[in-house]
Amino acid sequence: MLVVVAAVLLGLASFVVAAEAPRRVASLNLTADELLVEMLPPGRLVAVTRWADDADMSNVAGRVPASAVRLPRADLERLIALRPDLVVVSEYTDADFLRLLEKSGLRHHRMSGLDTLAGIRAAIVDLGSAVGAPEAAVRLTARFDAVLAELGRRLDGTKHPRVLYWADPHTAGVGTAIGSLIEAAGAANVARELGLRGIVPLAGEKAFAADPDVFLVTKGSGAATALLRHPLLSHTRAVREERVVEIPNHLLVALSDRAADAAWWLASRLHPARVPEATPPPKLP
Amino acid sequence: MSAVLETRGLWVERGRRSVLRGVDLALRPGEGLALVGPNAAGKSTLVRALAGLLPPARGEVLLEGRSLASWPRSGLARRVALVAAEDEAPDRIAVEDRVALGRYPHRGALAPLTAEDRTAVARALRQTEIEHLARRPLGTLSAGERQLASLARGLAQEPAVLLLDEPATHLDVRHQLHLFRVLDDVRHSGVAVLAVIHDLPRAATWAPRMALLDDGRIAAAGSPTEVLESEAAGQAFGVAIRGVPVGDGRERLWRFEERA
Amino acid sequence: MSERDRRLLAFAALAVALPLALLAALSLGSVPLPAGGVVRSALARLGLGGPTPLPEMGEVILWSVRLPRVLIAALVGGGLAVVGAALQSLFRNPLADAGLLGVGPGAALGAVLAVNLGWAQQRFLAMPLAACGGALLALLLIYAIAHAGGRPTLSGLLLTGLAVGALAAAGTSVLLVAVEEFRVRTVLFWLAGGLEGRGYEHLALAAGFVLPGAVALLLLARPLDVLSLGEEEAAALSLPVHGVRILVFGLCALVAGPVTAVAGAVPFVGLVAPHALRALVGPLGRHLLPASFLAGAVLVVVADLAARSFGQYVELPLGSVTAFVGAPYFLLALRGQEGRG
Repeated sequence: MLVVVAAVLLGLASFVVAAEAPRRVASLNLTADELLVEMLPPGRLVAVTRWADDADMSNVAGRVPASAVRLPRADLERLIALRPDLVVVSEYTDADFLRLLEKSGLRHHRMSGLDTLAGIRAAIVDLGSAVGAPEAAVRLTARFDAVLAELGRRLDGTKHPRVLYWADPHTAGVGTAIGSLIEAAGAANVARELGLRGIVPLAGEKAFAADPDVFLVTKGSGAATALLRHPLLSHTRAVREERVVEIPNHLLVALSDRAADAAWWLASRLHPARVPEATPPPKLP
Repeated sequence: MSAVLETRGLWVERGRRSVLRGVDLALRPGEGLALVGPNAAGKSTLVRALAGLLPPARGEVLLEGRSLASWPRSGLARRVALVAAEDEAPDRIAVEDRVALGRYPHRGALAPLTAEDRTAVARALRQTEIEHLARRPLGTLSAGERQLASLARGLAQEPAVLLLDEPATHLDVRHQLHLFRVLDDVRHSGVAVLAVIHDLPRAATWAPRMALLDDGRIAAAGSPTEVLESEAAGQAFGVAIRGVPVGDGRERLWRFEERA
Repeated sequence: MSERDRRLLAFAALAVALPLALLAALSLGSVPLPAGGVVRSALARLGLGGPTPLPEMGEVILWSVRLPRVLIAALVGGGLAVVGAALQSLFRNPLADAGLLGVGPGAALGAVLAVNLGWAQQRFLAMPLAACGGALLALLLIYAIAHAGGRPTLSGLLLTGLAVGALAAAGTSVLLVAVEEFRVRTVLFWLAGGLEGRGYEHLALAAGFVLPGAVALLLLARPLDVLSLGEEEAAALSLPVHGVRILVFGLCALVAGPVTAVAGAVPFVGLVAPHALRALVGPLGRHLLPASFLAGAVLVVVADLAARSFGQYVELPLGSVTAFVGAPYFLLALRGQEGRG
């Protein structure tokens, strides 16, 4: 009797271990690419997206193990051929695609809640336990927490400039990573004042009327030049006084532990007196 | 012999206009009737009402003594065939296939064609003398041949009454002679034939009987000579009509003159 | 060559082409599988011959990813082609196709709504079901409005379809602008037409409408032939013209709606397949409708194979592939007609 129970428990335990420690992990989104490069030994990361090597978008460009296949798209057939035992997908992956993954015998982990810094932190912890690397997740979140804590300490008591993210005609309101980034960098998100939620279009006239202190635009997208030539927005105070911050794309789209670095970078532009260095110290207590 | 198809005090409206205003007409088996009349007299409307395509506003149409309204559609189409002046069938359809669609009232939507159907189609092609065109697409036919194919479709229905609306309009004289010879054969096999014919001498030559429709009423009926020489015909067409006896005196050469 | 021989040859060619196209589509892809292996794997599933020669990974790709997708492609193509052929008889116009029915924009509206509300990401089959619902609602609306003024005429149905379609398209645009940026991609991909990520459930959804609908249209082959003779002659031959028109219109919408729901917009199939086949097998429904089904199936199976073979970073939209092939074909065909005319 006891032997049977022990055997069952042992079987269960080995199942749980097997389930928690996938040997071959495939990533279908850039955020997971960045996190998994930090979390997993090279042999266990079998696939990343084609953006992982793109220095413009990725924070791990040049550090992705050569053995990982770069998937040009979410190609189910190639994915099955790689025989991963965990596929990391994003919040906006279709439910129908996920069902087909399951039917093909592939387990998946869905990253979600990446629209706030707290959500990003939680997603790092979840991913760590899903891929069987909880200690790596602890390492990443410790640094994430430390950078944000140091940032908070330095920004304490500052005046918050009013920042509007602008990707003509879209802006980022409440419930977006960009909105959280602006607020973490010691600024007020103008889109929140306007009651906007999500990445949504905003009429140029409303943007003009909102009169932001600073425009935040993506570097290399031509958005800064477009603002200078915009029939209306070129007349805003922020543009006339050249307070247009161009953030590198890889920082803007970083929904990984690098989101803390992005906040630090933005804070260094908005509050140069308090945060003089552009990059946060690599190690903090 | 009793009438196979007749109208009693038939009124038909198109839109708000009364096109037929009390038509009484009877067709007996094997009879050939030419329906003549000036433009807009209501000839096409009468033909369509006889085929059951236009409902009477007043009066009735009787087929074999029963009101058309009480006939099921398919039963009606098995007894009355209508051949229109214009053939709207697709150009690519083969003559034989087009003729075989005349079996629809007999077979309906689903039942496959039987040997009986194929015999009827072959007979119709033979009667109209277009067997050699059987597999030709309609689009490759002359207007005359096309009209014969339309007629063959009507014959394939094996009707008791054949109604034709200006069957010879687009035909050259050789095809006209051919067509009316076929109609005679059909008539002699016991089918009642009513044809709307524009060409009055042609109508008079072919038809044993003629009816003149004027302003929605039958203005005259009888032998072609009686009808065309009647006061009513001159009035209806607004011309002077004179028949000059030729040959043995039974035929007429018809002369038409504008009235002063 | 006699007309009969030409017809038999056309059917024989289609009967050979469809299995070949299916086999090619099953064996080619981003992970090629040997055609012989595909055949032997199929035989093994049927309990014939030895065990499958494919590795387990190949079995999964073949049976859970490729087979449903390839079969959906065949159903989509066959369904659209039959609908095209039937509508061309109905309207007596070779340019009629499923786009006239007004159900496409309804399907699009349903799909965008599902994306907007986040259902597409959260619930399995939400997007095709919403699209299907949109299409059927549009159909009901068209009927109800057209019926409101008495017995609906064909032109009444057409105009109502046009108006309902325009309304749905306007709604789609509004939702598309309001949809969150990262979801726009999902919508655009769907609107462009494609079969990526479709499984057996999508197949069942499509088959549930396409097969009964296509069979019903095939059964209406002779009434459609009679109708092609013109309204008056058809009525004189005892065809209930009005009823048949409404029935055919409804059946076509019942096929086209779910097809659009599963595959998005796949243009030109309903025009090209019947047009090409009419010259080979003649205009009679009993030949043209089944031949169009087969040809449409071959066309879309091959187009889908091209769609997933040629795109590197994304699959090509299936709708673009059929348009790339269909539009030039149609221009050439029309030019040929003018030359003869």
